[in-house]
Formats: sequence, C-alpha cells, structure tokens
Amino acid sequence: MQPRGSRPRKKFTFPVLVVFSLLLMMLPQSATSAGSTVVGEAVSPFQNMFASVARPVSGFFDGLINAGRYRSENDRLREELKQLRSESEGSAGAKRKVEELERMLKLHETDSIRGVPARVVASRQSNFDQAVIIDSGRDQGIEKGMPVVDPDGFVGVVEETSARSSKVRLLIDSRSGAGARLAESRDVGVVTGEGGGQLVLRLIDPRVPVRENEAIVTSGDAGGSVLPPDIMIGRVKSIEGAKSELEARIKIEPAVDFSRIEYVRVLIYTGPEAVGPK
Amino acid sequence: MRKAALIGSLLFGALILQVSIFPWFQFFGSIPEVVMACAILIGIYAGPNTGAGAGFAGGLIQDLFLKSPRIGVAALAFTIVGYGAGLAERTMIRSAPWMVPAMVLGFALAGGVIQFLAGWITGAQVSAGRVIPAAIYTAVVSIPLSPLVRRVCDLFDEALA
Repeated sequence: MQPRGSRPRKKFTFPVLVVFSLLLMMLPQSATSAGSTVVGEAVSPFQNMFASVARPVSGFFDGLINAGRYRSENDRLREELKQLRSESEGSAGAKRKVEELERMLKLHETDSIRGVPARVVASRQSNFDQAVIIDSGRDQGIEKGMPVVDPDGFVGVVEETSARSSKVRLLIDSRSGAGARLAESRDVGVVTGEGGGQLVLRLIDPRVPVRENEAIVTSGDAGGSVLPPDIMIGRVKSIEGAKSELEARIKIEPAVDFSRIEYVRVLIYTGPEAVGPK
Repeated sequence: MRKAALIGSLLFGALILQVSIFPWFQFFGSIPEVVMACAILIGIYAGPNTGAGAGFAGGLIQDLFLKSPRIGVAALAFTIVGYGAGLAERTMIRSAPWMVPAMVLGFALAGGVIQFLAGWITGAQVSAGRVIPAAIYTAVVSIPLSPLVRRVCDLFDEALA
C-alpha cells in the first residue's frame, strides 16, 4: 500500500521541478557562483585525472585515423620547406623582405610580455560551451581577463581562475568578442565567435578595401579585458555586404586550430605599461 | 535516501565522463550528453517522476559545473526529457533491444532543442548546429550505459522492497 499523501506529491513532482528550473533561469549568475565553485572543486580533480588518461588514448586513435592525412601533410611540408630553403638561399633579400613585412604588419612582440605556459587539461565540455581548462591558475599569477595565445595566434581570454587551473573562453564562443583590425588598412572592427567554430569581423566600413587572405590582428581590447595589440587572429576568408550597407561582414579563417589546442601561453598583461622584459 | 545517493553517484560519474573523457573523442565536433542520457534512462527504468528528479539534479549540477550562461537551462531540459522518457516507456506495448537507444535519440534531440530555445529566449546565445550529431552520439553512448543504469534502478527497487 502506498503511504498516505505520496500520490499527490508524485503528481506535483514534474510541474514543481519545471517551475523551479524556470525560477533558476531568472537568477543572476552571481547568485549561483557559490554553488558553481562547490561543484567545480568537487569535479575538477576527477576531471584532470581522467583527462590525463583520455588525452594520449585520443592522440593514439587520432594518429591511426588520420595517418594518411598526416603523412601527406608531412610530405607537403617537407616539399614546402625544401622550396623555401632554395628560395632563401637564392635570394639574399629574403630576410630583409620578411623584416619589411613584419614592420608593415607591425606585428606585436608578444614574446616581450611575460607569459605563463599552460597545458590544456580539459577540452570543450559541452555542446553549447566553447571553453577549455588549463593547468595553471592563481598560484601562477593568472587572473581573470588575461589574454591567452598559442604559437599560431590569439586563443581567448581567461574567464575564471582557481588556485591551479583556469577556464579560458575561446574566441570562437558566441559570447566572446575582441577588438580587431585589418593588418593592411588598419581599419578597426570587432571579431565575434559564431559558436560553430566560425569567426566574423563586424563594424568595418564596407568602403574600406579588403582583400581575401588579408591578416586580421587584435586591436587592443576584448569586451572589458585589455589585449596586447597585433596578435594574429586569422585571415579574411570571404566578404559579405554591399558598399551601400552600414557595415561589412567579413568571415575569418582562424589562425588557431581550436580543435587541437594543447599548449598555450597566458599573457600577464594588464595594459601597454605591462610590456617589458620577460 | 539510498535511492537519492545511488542516483547522485550515477549522475556525478556521468558528469565526470562527459567533461573529462568525451571532449577528447568528438563526433563531428560534438560530445555526448552523458548526464542527459542518464536522466532519460532513469526515466525509462524507474518511471517519469524519478526521471524528472534525476534530470533536474543532473541538469543543475551540469549547469553549475559548466557555469552555463543561464543556470537552469539544462535542469529544465533534462527534467522534461527524464519525465517524457518515463511516460513514453509506459505507453510501450512491446519492447525491443533497439528501442532504448531509439528513445534516447529522440529525447536527446528534444533536450538539445529545449536547451537551444531556452538559451535563445533568455538571451544566452547557443549554437544549434551540434544538436543532431550530439543526439546521435548520446544515443550511441547510451547503449553501454543502459545496463548499468538499469542495474542501479534495480538496486533502489530492491532497497525499497
């Protein structure tokens, strides 16, 4: 026999839970931060432990599945290297040309900014979330809002820190954004993520001449955070928007392969005055 | 009490699997919703109310851990699919081995759409492009997960008996 009152209670379980979920959705995120910290502290040690096992296994299968592609890519890179070597030897001005191009692009020396190297310990954790966890945190001097780069360019911004780990919101996340400029025209716009791994440059005057494959670099800010200028973001893939429209919409081929980030550098940068010797 | 502890342990394990193992094994850029799969399976094996409760608890810990832009989005989606799976199971006349992953596929799709819509309504932009591959991956993962969840549900049935 069912205990008295259990049937009405069961009857209301579902609507009560739905209403409670809706009420939770109305709460500001700050109201639930304590709960987030508790769950995060409970899950993180297990997450790091399991991820350290999963990562090499994933690498092994990735190697097996993509062996043919890696081999052909390796051959192509060898060929390119050979060609570049012969070009470099053949032309005494090659080095000068590179220096001139770098000067033209005014590429920022992020090497002059103190950086904390970190390893990605947990990749994207949800289908609606583009963030990674790295194995360095407050103990290493990392703070919220600091920019994160890898050898190819700008990765994202530190969103949260704990003592020994940090969450980095990737630039491709739909909630991310960064001030950006076209490397040649120096026109400034905003790069936003589109969630599905795409980047778009907005707020560019459609009359500004933009060419495909033109480099796009950071302009120096990222929605409240301060970024060093001239970090590579990507290259122009396609341009949408007629000259009569208010803004051009420029699709970007990201410089960083966001699906394979393994090592990053968190830049200890709080403004232009922070640039100095390592 | 034992029932809550068993379900809690199961959901906690599912969350750890989801955030630590599967991000390294993506399918068309998607990872399986292991916590949602558990809520659906609990709904199937333990009834709609237990499925709704498990979905709410699992969704809430996932929301809190991932610091979702709106806490409660996954809780709402998983509550609905957990309850719906329990109701759907009751209406089944015959069961076949493929029915459980097929139900998980259907409810995972529904859960993905609810999360997308709830995020969109509350102003938290979320990507819809991964809903279908994630649902397929979730259904595949539910195949080995199903006997374990069934065993856990049997355990608390025994405890209540």
